[in-house]
Amino acid sequence: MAKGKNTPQSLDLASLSQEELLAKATELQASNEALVAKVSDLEKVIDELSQANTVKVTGNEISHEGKVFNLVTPRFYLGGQLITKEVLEADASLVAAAIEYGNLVEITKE
Amino acid sequence: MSLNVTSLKAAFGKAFGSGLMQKDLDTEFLVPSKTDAEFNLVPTELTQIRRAKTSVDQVLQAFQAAATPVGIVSIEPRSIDLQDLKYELELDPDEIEDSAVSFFADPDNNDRKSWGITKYVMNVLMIQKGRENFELHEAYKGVKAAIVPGSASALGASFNGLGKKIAEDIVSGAVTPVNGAAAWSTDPVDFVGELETWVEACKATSEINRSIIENMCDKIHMSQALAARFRLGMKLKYNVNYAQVGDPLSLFDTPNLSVSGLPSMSSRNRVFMTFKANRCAYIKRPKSEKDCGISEANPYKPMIYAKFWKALGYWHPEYVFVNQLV
Repeated sequence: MAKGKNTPQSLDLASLSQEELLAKATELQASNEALVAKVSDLEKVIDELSQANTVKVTGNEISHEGKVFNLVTPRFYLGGQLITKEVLEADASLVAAAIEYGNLVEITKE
Repeated sequence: MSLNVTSLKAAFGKAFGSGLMQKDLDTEFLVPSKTDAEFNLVPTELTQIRRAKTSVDQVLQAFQAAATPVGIVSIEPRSIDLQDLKYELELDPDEIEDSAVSFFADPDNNDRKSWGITKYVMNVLMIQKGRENFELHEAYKGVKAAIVPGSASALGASFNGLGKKIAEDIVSGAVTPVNGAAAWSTDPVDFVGELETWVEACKATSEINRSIIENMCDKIHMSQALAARFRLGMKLKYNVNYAQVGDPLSLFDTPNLSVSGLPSMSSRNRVFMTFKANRCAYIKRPKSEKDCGISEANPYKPMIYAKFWKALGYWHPEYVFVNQLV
Protein backbone atom coordinates (compact mmCIF):
# COMPACT_ATOMS: atom_id res chain seq x y z
CA MET A 1 0.00 0.00 0.00
CA ALA A 2 1.37 3.41 -0.92
CA LYS A 3 2.32 5.53 2.02
CA GLY A 4 0.66 8.93 2.29
CA LYS A 5 2.42 11.95 3.63
CA ASN A 6 0.65 11.52 6.96
CA THR A 7 1.64 7.87 7.35
CA PRO A 8 3.64 7.61 10.58
CA GLN A 9 7.30 6.70 10.02
CA SER A 10 8.74 3.94 12.15
CA LEU A 11 10.92 5.39 14.87
CA ASP A 12 13.84 3.85 16.67
CA LEU A 13 12.67 5.07 20.04
CA ALA A 14 15.64 3.55 21.87
CA SER A 15 18.07 5.81 19.99
CA LEU A 16 16.30 9.01 21.04
CA SER A 17 17.12 11.08 24.05
CA GLN A 18 14.40 12.00 26.57
CA GLU A 19 14.18 15.58 25.20
CA GLU A 20 13.86 14.30 21.67
CA LEU A 21 11.12 11.88 22.75
CA LEU A 22 9.23 14.68 24.50
CA ALA A 23 9.51 16.90 21.43
CA LYS A 24 8.25 14.08 19.21
CA ALA A 25 5.32 13.44 21.55
CA THR A 26 4.33 17.14 21.53
CA GLU A 27 4.59 17.23 17.75
CA LEU A 28 2.37 14.12 17.44
CA GLN A 29 -0.22 15.55 19.80
CA ALA A 30 -0.38 18.80 17.83
CA SER A 31 -0.89 16.98 14.54
CA ASN A 32 -3.52 14.78 16.16
CA GLU A 33 -5.44 17.86 17.38
CA ALA A 34 -5.23 19.40 13.92
CA LEU A 35 -6.68 16.21 12.43
CA VAL A 36 -9.56 16.17 14.94
CA ALA A 37 -10.35 19.80 14.10
CA LYS A 38 -10.34 18.98 10.36
CA VAL A 39 -12.68 16.03 10.89
CA SER A 40 -15.04 18.20 12.90
CA ASP A 41 -15.01 20.83 10.11
CA LEU A 42 -15.79 18.13 7.56
CA GLU A 43 -18.65 16.85 9.69
CA LYS A 44 -20.09 20.36 9.78
CA VAL A 45 -19.89 20.65 5.97
CA ILE A 46 -21.56 17.24 5.58
CA ASP A 47 -24.28 18.33 8.01
CA GLU A 48 -24.91 21.54 6.06
CA LEU A 49 -24.99 19.69 2.75
CA SER A 50 -27.40 17.06 4.01
CA GLN A 51 -29.54 19.78 5.57
CA ALA A 52 -29.73 21.54 2.21
CA ASN A 53 -30.85 18.44 0.40
CA THR A 54 -33.43 17.14 2.81
CA VAL A 55 -37.01 18.05 3.33
CA LYS A 56 -38.41 17.56 6.81
CA VAL A 57 -42.16 17.32 7.09
CA THR A 58 -43.94 18.07 10.36
CA GLY A 59 -47.71 18.11 9.93
CA ASN A 60 -48.38 20.73 7.27
CA GLU A 61 -44.99 22.41 7.76
CA ILE A 62 -41.99 21.66 5.60
CA SER A 63 -38.41 22.63 6.49
CA HIS A 64 -35.87 23.00 3.75
CA GLU A 65 -32.52 24.85 3.67
CA GLY A 66 -33.14 26.23 7.14
CA LYS A 67 -36.48 27.78 6.16
CA VAL A 68 -39.96 26.65 7.17
CA PHE A 69 -42.80 26.55 4.65
CA ASN A 70 -46.51 25.98 4.86
CA LEU A 71 -47.99 23.58 2.32
CA VAL A 72 -50.95 25.62 1.04
CA THR A 73 -52.30 22.91 -1.22
CA PRO A 74 -51.79 19.46 0.33
CA ARG A 75 -52.01 17.85 -3.11
CA PHE A 76 -51.34 19.45 -6.46
CA TYR A 77 -50.37 18.51 -9.98
CA LEU A 78 -47.11 19.76 -11.43
CA GLY A 79 -46.70 18.91 -15.11
CA GLY A 80 -49.06 15.95 -14.80
CA GLN A 81 -47.32 14.57 -11.66
CA LEU A 82 -49.26 14.42 -8.42
CA ILE A 83 -47.23 16.11 -5.66
CA THR A 84 -47.86 15.47 -1.98
CA LYS A 85 -45.70 16.10 1.08
CA GLU A 86 -44.41 12.53 0.83
CA VAL A 87 -43.27 13.20 -2.75
CA LEU A 88 -41.57 16.45 -1.66
CA GLU A 89 -39.85 14.61 1.19
CA ALA A 90 -38.48 12.04 -1.22
CA ASP A 91 -37.38 14.53 -3.90
CA ALA A 92 -36.09 17.85 -2.56
CA SER A 93 -35.56 19.17 -6.09
CA LEU A 94 -39.34 19.71 -6.41
CA VAL A 95 -39.40 22.16 -3.49
CA ALA A 96 -38.12 25.09 -5.56
CA ALA A 97 -40.92 24.62 -8.12
CA ALA A 98 -43.54 24.33 -5.38
CA ILE A 99 -42.31 27.63 -3.93
CA GLU A 100 -42.34 29.31 -7.35
CA TYR A 101 -45.93 28.24 -8.06
CA GLY A 102 -47.15 29.31 -4.65
CA ASN A 103 -47.93 25.83 -3.30
CA LEU A 104 -45.39 26.38 -0.53
CA VAL A 105 -45.40 29.68 1.35
CA GLU A 106 -42.58 30.57 3.74
CA ILE A 107 -43.67 31.02 7.32
CA THR A 108 -42.12 34.13 8.81
CA LYS A 109 -41.66 33.66 12.49
CA GLU A 110 -41.17 36.67 14.70
CA MET B 1 -84.37 58.72 6.35
CA SER B 2 -84.65 55.57 4.24
CA LEU B 3 -86.17 57.38 1.26
CA ASN B 4 -83.89 60.16 0.12
CA VAL B 5 -85.45 62.78 -2.16
CA THR B 6 -83.56 65.79 -0.77
CA SER B 7 -81.68 66.60 -3.99
CA LEU B 8 -84.85 66.09 -6.04
CA LYS B 9 -86.71 68.60 -3.90
CA ALA B 10 -83.80 71.04 -4.03
CA ALA B 11 -83.64 70.94 -7.83
CA PHE B 12 -87.27 70.54 -8.86
CA GLY B 13 -88.90 72.29 -5.91
CA LYS B 14 -91.54 71.22 -3.48
CA ALA B 15 -95.20 70.47 -4.13
CA PHE B 16 -94.76 70.47 -7.85
CA GLY B 17 -97.86 68.43 -8.53
CA SER B 18 -97.08 65.36 -10.62
CA GLY B 19 -94.01 66.73 -12.34
CA LEU B 20 -92.60 63.35 -13.36
CA MET B 21 -94.13 60.09 -14.45
CA GLN B 22 -92.80 56.59 -13.98
CA LYS B 23 -91.57 56.63 -17.59
CA ASP B 24 -89.29 59.53 -16.60
CA LEU B 25 -87.51 57.47 -13.96
CA ASP B 26 -84.30 55.74 -14.96
CA THR B 27 -83.19 52.86 -12.79
CA GLU B 28 -79.51 52.63 -11.83
CA PHE B 29 -77.65 50.07 -13.89
CA LEU B 30 -77.52 46.77 -12.08
CA VAL B 31 -75.39 43.72 -12.86
CA PRO B 32 -77.46 40.54 -13.26
CA SER B 33 -76.23 37.35 -11.63
CA LYS B 34 -74.35 35.62 -14.44
CA THR B 35 -72.92 33.08 -12.03
CA ASP B 36 -76.43 31.90 -11.09
CA ALA B 37 -77.18 31.36 -14.77
CA GLU B 38 -73.89 29.59 -15.51
CA PHE B 39 -74.44 27.28 -12.53
CA ASN B 40 -77.96 26.33 -13.72
CA LEU B 41 -80.08 27.94 -10.97
CA VAL B 42 -82.97 25.62 -10.11
CA PRO B 43 -85.83 26.24 -7.63
CA THR B 44 -86.27 23.74 -4.83
CA GLU B 45 -88.31 23.24 -1.67
CA LEU B 46 -85.40 21.69 0.25
CA THR B 47 -82.66 23.21 2.39
CA GLN B 48 -80.23 20.41 1.63
CA ILE B 49 -79.98 18.71 -1.74
CA ARG B 50 -78.64 15.17 -1.74
CA ARG B 51 -77.19 12.98 -4.43
CA ALA B 52 -74.85 10.03 -4.48
CA LYS B 53 -72.02 8.91 -6.72
CA THR B 54 -71.79 5.28 -7.70
CA SER B 55 -68.55 3.70 -8.81
CA VAL B 56 -66.94 0.30 -9.19
CA ASP B 57 -63.28 -0.58 -9.49
CA GLN B 58 -61.83 -3.35 -11.71
CA VAL B 59 -64.38 -5.72 -13.26
CA LEU B 60 -62.51 -7.12 -16.27
CA GLN B 61 -60.29 -10.20 -15.92
CA ALA B 62 -58.89 -13.07 -17.95
CA PHE B 63 -61.06 -16.19 -18.22
CA GLN B 64 -60.63 -19.20 -15.98
CA ALA B 65 -63.17 -21.81 -15.02
CA ALA B 66 -62.78 -21.17 -11.28
CA ALA B 67 -64.91 -18.40 -9.76
CA THR B 68 -62.66 -15.36 -9.12
CA PRO B 69 -64.94 -12.36 -8.54
CA VAL B 70 -63.34 -8.88 -8.52
CA GLY B 71 -64.75 -5.38 -8.16
CA ILE B 72 -66.09 -3.33 -5.27
CA VAL B 73 -69.15 -1.18 -5.86
CA SER B 74 -69.17 2.11 -3.89
CA ILE B 75 -71.98 4.56 -3.36
CA GLU B 76 -70.74 7.81 -1.88
CA PRO B 77 -72.98 10.56 -0.53
CA ARG B 78 -72.93 14.10 -1.92
CA SER B 79 -74.87 17.00 -0.43
CA ILE B 80 -75.17 20.74 -0.77
CA ASP B 81 -76.64 22.91 1.97
CA LEU B 82 -78.66 25.98 1.07
CA GLN B 83 -77.89 29.09 3.08
CA ASP B 84 -80.57 31.50 4.27
CA LEU B 85 -80.56 35.13 3.17
CA LYS B 86 -83.00 37.99 3.37
CA TYR B 87 -83.95 41.37 1.98
CA GLU B 88 -85.34 43.89 4.44
CA LEU B 89 -85.91 47.49 3.43
CA GLU B 90 -87.90 50.13 5.27
CA LEU B 91 -89.44 53.10 3.44
CA ASP B 92 -90.98 56.35 4.59
CA PRO B 93 -93.23 57.10 1.58
CA ASP B 94 -94.51 60.38 3.06
CA GLU B 95 -91.20 61.95 2.00
CA ILE B 96 -92.34 62.08 -1.63
CA GLU B 97 -95.78 63.60 -1.13
CA ASP B 98 -94.54 67.14 -1.70
CA SER B 99 -91.98 66.30 -4.38
CA ALA B 100 -91.86 65.95 -8.17
CA VAL B 101 -92.51 62.23 -7.83
CA SER B 102 -95.71 62.70 -5.86
CA PHE B 103 -97.54 60.62 -8.48
CA PHE B 104 -96.04 57.70 -6.54
CA ALA B 105 -97.96 58.74 -3.42
CA ASP B 106 -101.66 58.11 -2.81
CA PRO B 107 -102.78 60.57 -0.12
CA ASP B 108 -106.39 59.32 -0.23
CA ASN B 109 -105.18 55.92 0.82
CA ASN B 110 -103.78 55.55 4.32
CA ASP B 111 -102.39 52.15 3.48
CA ARG B 112 -98.87 53.10 2.50
CA LYS B 113 -97.93 49.61 1.48
CA SER B 114 -100.16 49.98 -1.57
CA TRP B 115 -98.63 53.30 -2.62
CA GLY B 116 -96.85 53.28 -5.96
CA ILE B 117 -93.46 54.03 -4.43
CA THR B 118 -93.65 50.94 -2.22
CA LYS B 119 -94.56 48.68 -5.14
CA TYR B 120 -91.88 50.23 -7.33
CA VAL B 121 -89.09 49.78 -4.79
CA MET B 122 -90.24 46.25 -4.03
CA ASN B 123 -90.67 44.98 -7.59
CA VAL B 124 -88.11 46.95 -9.53
CA LEU B 125 -85.28 48.15 -7.34
CA MET B 126 -84.82 45.76 -4.44
CA ILE B 127 -84.91 42.41 -6.23
CA GLN B 128 -82.54 43.52 -8.99
CA LYS B 129 -80.14 45.09 -6.49
CA GLY B 130 -80.26 41.90 -4.42
CA ARG B 131 -79.13 39.88 -7.41
CA GLU B 132 -76.31 42.33 -8.08
CA ASN B 133 -75.20 42.22 -4.42
CA PHE B 134 -75.19 38.44 -4.63
CA GLU B 135 -73.19 38.35 -7.85
CA LEU B 136 -70.55 40.93 -6.95
CA HIS B 137 -70.03 40.15 -3.27
CA GLU B 138 -71.34 36.74 -2.31
CA ALA B 139 -71.51 34.24 -5.20
CA TYR B 140 -67.75 33.72 -5.39
CA LYS B 141 -66.16 35.98 -2.78
CA GLY B 142 -68.64 35.61 0.08
CA VAL B 143 -67.36 34.39 3.44
CA LYS B 144 -70.16 34.26 5.96
CA ALA B 145 -69.35 35.98 9.24
CA ALA B 146 -70.96 35.24 12.59
CA ILE B 147 -74.33 36.96 12.94
CA VAL B 148 -74.29 39.99 15.23
CA PRO B 149 -77.77 40.01 16.80
CA GLY B 150 -79.64 43.15 15.82
CA SER B 151 -77.18 44.24 13.08
CA ALA B 152 -77.33 43.65 9.36
CA SER B 153 -74.41 41.60 8.01
CA ALA B 154 -71.90 43.34 5.74
CA LEU B 155 -71.66 42.75 1.98
CA GLY B 156 -69.45 39.75 1.33
CA ALA B 157 -70.10 38.36 4.82
CA SER B 158 -73.58 36.92 4.32
CA PHE B 159 -73.02 33.77 2.27
CA ASN B 160 -70.25 31.21 1.85
CA GLY B 161 -69.44 31.55 -1.84
CA LEU B 162 -67.78 29.36 -4.41
CA GLY B 163 -64.27 30.66 -3.67
CA LYS B 164 -64.49 29.56 -0.05
CA LYS B 165 -65.82 26.15 -1.05
CA ILE B 166 -62.93 25.63 -3.49
CA ALA B 167 -60.37 26.77 -0.88
CA GLU B 168 -61.82 24.39 1.72
CA ASP B 169 -61.91 21.49 -0.73
CA ILE B 170 -58.27 22.13 -1.66
CA VAL B 171 -57.24 22.02 2.01
CA SER B 172 -59.23 18.82 2.60
CA GLY B 173 -57.68 17.26 -0.52
CA ALA B 174 -61.05 16.85 -2.29
CA VAL B 175 -59.98 19.25 -5.06
CA THR B 176 -56.42 18.91 -6.34
CA PRO B 177 -55.24 22.08 -8.07
CA VAL B 178 -53.30 21.76 -11.31
CA ASN B 179 -50.46 24.26 -11.34
CA GLY B 180 -50.77 26.82 -14.11
CA ALA B 181 -48.48 29.79 -14.61
CA ALA B 182 -46.85 31.04 -11.40
CA ALA B 183 -48.57 34.35 -12.25
CA TRP B 184 -50.77 34.99 -15.30
CA SER B 185 -48.99 37.02 -17.96
CA THR B 186 -50.43 40.45 -18.71
CA ASP B 187 -49.48 39.94 -22.37
CA PRO B 188 -52.65 38.60 -24.08
CA VAL B 189 -50.81 36.22 -26.44
CA ASP B 190 -48.70 34.81 -23.60
CA PHE B 191 -51.82 34.43 -21.49
CA VAL B 192 -53.54 32.36 -24.19
CA GLY B 193 -50.45 30.14 -24.28
CA GLU B 194 -50.44 29.80 -20.49
CA LEU B 195 -54.12 28.86 -20.40
CA GLU B 196 -53.61 26.32 -23.20
CA THR B 197 -50.68 24.85 -21.27
CA TRP B 198 -52.80 24.68 -18.12
CA VAL B 199 -55.61 22.82 -19.93
CA GLU B 200 -53.03 20.39 -21.32
CA ALA B 201 -51.61 19.93 -17.79
CA CYS B 202 -55.15 19.14 -16.55
CA LYS B 203 -55.55 16.56 -19.30
CA ALA B 204 -52.18 15.03 -18.42
CA THR B 205 -53.30 14.20 -14.87
CA SER B 206 -55.11 11.05 -16.03
CA GLU B 207 -56.77 9.52 -19.07
CA ILE B 208 -60.13 9.81 -17.31
CA ASN B 209 -59.59 13.53 -16.81
CA ARG B 210 -58.47 13.88 -20.43
CA SER B 211 -61.72 12.28 -21.57
CA ILE B 212 -63.79 14.51 -19.27
CA ILE B 213 -62.07 17.67 -20.47
CA GLU B 214 -62.18 16.78 -24.16
CA ASN B 215 -65.73 15.46 -24.20
CA MET B 216 -67.74 16.88 -21.33
CA CYS B 217 -66.30 20.17 -20.05
CA ASP B 218 -67.86 23.19 -21.70
CA LYS B 219 -66.51 26.26 -19.94
CA ILE B 220 -63.52 27.67 -18.11
CA HIS B 221 -64.72 30.28 -15.65
CA MET B 222 -62.53 33.18 -14.65
CA SER B 223 -62.76 36.91 -14.02
CA GLN B 224 -64.09 39.08 -16.83
CA ALA B 225 -60.72 40.85 -17.07
CA LEU B 226 -58.91 37.54 -17.71
CA ALA B 227 -61.61 36.50 -20.21
CA ALA B 228 -61.15 39.78 -22.11
CA ARG B 229 -57.37 39.21 -22.12
CA PHE B 230 -57.94 35.73 -23.54
CA ARG B 231 -60.23 37.03 -26.27
CA LEU B 232 -57.69 39.64 -27.37
CA GLY B 233 -54.89 37.07 -27.16
CA MET B 234 -56.78 34.64 -29.41
CA LYS B 235 -57.25 37.39 -31.96
CA LEU B 236 -53.56 38.26 -31.93
CA LYS B 237 -52.31 34.68 -31.80
CA TYR B 238 -54.53 32.92 -34.32
CA ASN B 239 -56.69 35.37 -36.23
CA VAL B 240 -53.96 36.95 -38.28
CA ASN B 241 -53.81 34.40 -41.10
CA TYR B 242 -56.31 32.61 -43.34
CA ALA B 243 -57.43 29.88 -40.92
CA GLN B 244 -59.16 32.05 -38.36
CA VAL B 245 -60.84 30.96 -35.17
CA GLY B 246 -64.60 31.43 -35.44
CA ASP B 247 -65.18 31.93 -31.73
CA PRO B 248 -62.33 33.83 -30.08
CA LEU B 249 -63.50 32.64 -26.65
CA SER B 250 -63.10 28.93 -27.41
CA LEU B 251 -59.77 27.16 -27.08
CA PHE B 252 -57.90 26.39 -30.30
CA ASP B 253 -56.86 22.84 -29.37
CA THR B 254 -59.95 21.96 -27.31
CA PRO B 255 -62.79 23.72 -29.12
CA ASN B 256 -65.49 22.28 -26.83
CA LEU B 257 -64.07 24.52 -24.09
CA SER B 258 -64.86 28.19 -24.05
CA VAL B 259 -63.81 30.90 -21.66
CA SER B 260 -66.52 32.59 -19.64
CA GLY B 261 -65.86 35.71 -17.57
CA LEU B 262 -67.88 36.03 -14.39
CA PRO B 263 -68.47 39.37 -12.60
CA SER B 264 -68.37 37.38 -9.35
CA MET B 265 -64.70 36.41 -9.91
CA SER B 266 -63.40 39.95 -10.52
CA SER B 267 -59.80 40.58 -9.39
CA ARG B 268 -59.22 36.87 -8.81
CA ASN B 269 -56.56 34.80 -10.59
CA ARG B 270 -58.32 31.49 -10.20
CA VAL B 271 -59.62 29.62 -13.24
CA PHE B 272 -62.31 27.01 -12.73
CA MET B 273 -63.32 24.24 -15.12
CA THR B 274 -65.86 21.45 -14.85
CA PHE B 275 -68.78 20.12 -16.88
CA LYS B 276 -72.27 21.61 -16.88
CA ALA B 277 -73.99 18.81 -14.94
CA ASN B 278 -71.44 19.16 -12.14
CA ARG B 279 -72.18 22.86 -11.63
CA CYS B 280 -75.25 23.55 -9.54
CA ALA B 281 -77.16 26.41 -7.99
CA TYR B 282 -80.38 26.19 -6.01
CA ILE B 283 -82.89 28.63 -4.64
CA LYS B 284 -85.62 27.84 -2.15
CA ARG B 285 -88.86 29.81 -2.25
CA PRO B 286 -88.20 31.97 -5.32
CA LYS B 287 -91.75 33.29 -4.93
CA SER B 288 -90.63 34.86 -1.71
CA GLU B 289 -87.76 36.59 -3.44
CA LYS B 290 -90.14 38.07 -6.01
CA ASP B 291 -93.32 38.48 -3.95
CA CYS B 292 -92.01 40.13 -0.83
CA GLY B 293 -93.89 40.57 2.40
CA ILE B 294 -94.71 44.04 3.73
CA SER B 295 -94.75 44.73 7.44
CA GLU B 296 -96.74 47.61 8.93
CA ALA B 297 -95.41 47.70 12.47
CA ASN B 298 -95.22 51.44 11.84
CA PRO B 299 -98.05 52.33 9.41
CA TYR B 300 -96.04 55.26 8.03
CA LYS B 301 -92.99 53.16 7.35
CA PRO B 302 -93.78 49.95 5.50
CA MET B 303 -90.97 47.41 5.66
CA ILE B 304 -90.49 45.19 2.60
CA TYR B 305 -89.01 41.83 3.45
CA ALA B 306 -88.22 38.51 1.80
CA LYS B 307 -86.40 35.46 3.08
CA PHE B 308 -84.97 32.87 0.74
CA TRP B 309 -82.26 30.22 0.59
CA LYS B 310 -79.49 29.80 -1.95
CA ALA B 311 -76.69 27.40 -2.76
CA LEU B 312 -73.95 27.51 -5.36
CA GLY B 313 -71.35 24.83 -5.93
CA TYR B 314 -70.53 21.52 -7.58
CA TRP B 315 -71.40 17.92 -6.88
CA HIS B 316 -68.15 16.07 -7.52
CA PRO B 317 -64.95 17.84 -6.44
CA GLU B 318 -62.82 15.19 -8.18
CA TYR B 319 -64.06 16.49 -11.53
CA VAL B 320 -63.29 20.12 -10.70
CA PHE B 321 -60.13 21.58 -12.23
CA VAL B 322 -58.66 24.73 -10.74
CA ASN B 323 -55.24 26.35 -10.85
CA GLN B 324 -53.18 27.07 -7.75
CA LEU B 325 -53.62 30.86 -7.83
CA VAL B 326 -56.35 32.52 -5.80
